[in-house]
Amino acid sequence: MSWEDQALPVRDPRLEGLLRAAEGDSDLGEADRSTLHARIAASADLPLARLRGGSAGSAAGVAGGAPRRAALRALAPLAVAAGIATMLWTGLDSREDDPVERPDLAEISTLEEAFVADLSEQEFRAFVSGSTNSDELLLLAAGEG
Amino acid sequence: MDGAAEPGDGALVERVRRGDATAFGLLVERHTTRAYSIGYRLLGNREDAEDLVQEAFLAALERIDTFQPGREFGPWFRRIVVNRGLNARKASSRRATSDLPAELQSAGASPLRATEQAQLATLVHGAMAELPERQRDVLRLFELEGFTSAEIAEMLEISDGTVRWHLHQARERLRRSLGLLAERST
Repeated sequence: MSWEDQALPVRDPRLEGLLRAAEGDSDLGEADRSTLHARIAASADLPLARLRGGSAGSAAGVAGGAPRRAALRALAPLAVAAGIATMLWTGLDSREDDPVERPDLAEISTLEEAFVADLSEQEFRAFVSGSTNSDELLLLAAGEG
Repeated sequence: MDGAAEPGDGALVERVRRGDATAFGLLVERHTTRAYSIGYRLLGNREDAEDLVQEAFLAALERIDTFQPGREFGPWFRRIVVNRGLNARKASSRRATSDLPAELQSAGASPLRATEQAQLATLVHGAMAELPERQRDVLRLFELEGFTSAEIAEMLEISDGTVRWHLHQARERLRRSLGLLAERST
């Protein structure tokens, strides 16, 4: 039979009396109790203030932090897509800037070729101002060329 | 009686979690006496017992978020008291055996009576000192403070059966010692 299975132990008044006589009572007098309560209350001021601050902070966290995190999670795929798009765009731009693929101005002799060619505005102006054939330009503008 | 129901410990703990000083004060009022008794039995003097109670309440406040709603505050708090009390006892030499109980220091006691009591106290202290520390704690909490074996088990974080075994051993040894004392004094 284990100790748990045995009958509940009962107090021994004789033993209790001897022990109490030897070791005294643990009664806390009313005055001491009041003093102790006051001491505990004073020392608890700061921790309680922290709890008041903490509960306000955590409430704000619950109210504002979670939606913010959810919104950021929703934006993540968009950010990735934007990044890929930027990479592709800059890649295309760099290919457009590739001088090898640019049309050679020397090979363009007419305004029609200049219009068809993928010239920048600056290149086009340079081509036009460098041209001595103003009549051809006017005729072309008038639709008679 | 004003008829208004006193809030339970659980409700007070919820308020304390929000920093409610009044609720904390009510918990202190309710649990100081028992905590002090445990502290006194573990540490053996009033000053240390009072310090222990104060520290235990502050420790409880610091970890109030770990208190599980629905459980009883008393046993949870008493475990804090006992753990801190045992640590304090380890950290410093125990002064209990050198302290004379208040009633032995009473100015009202006759010199003869006081001498008899002092002799008895010395002999009981001697018998108690022969017991292992754990058995002394169990005996004091059971015989002097009225805790049940189950309550002591919860406080000391051991099984109820182990508490009963310690209690049985302590009583047997103490009775034997005090029986010898009775024979010698007659």
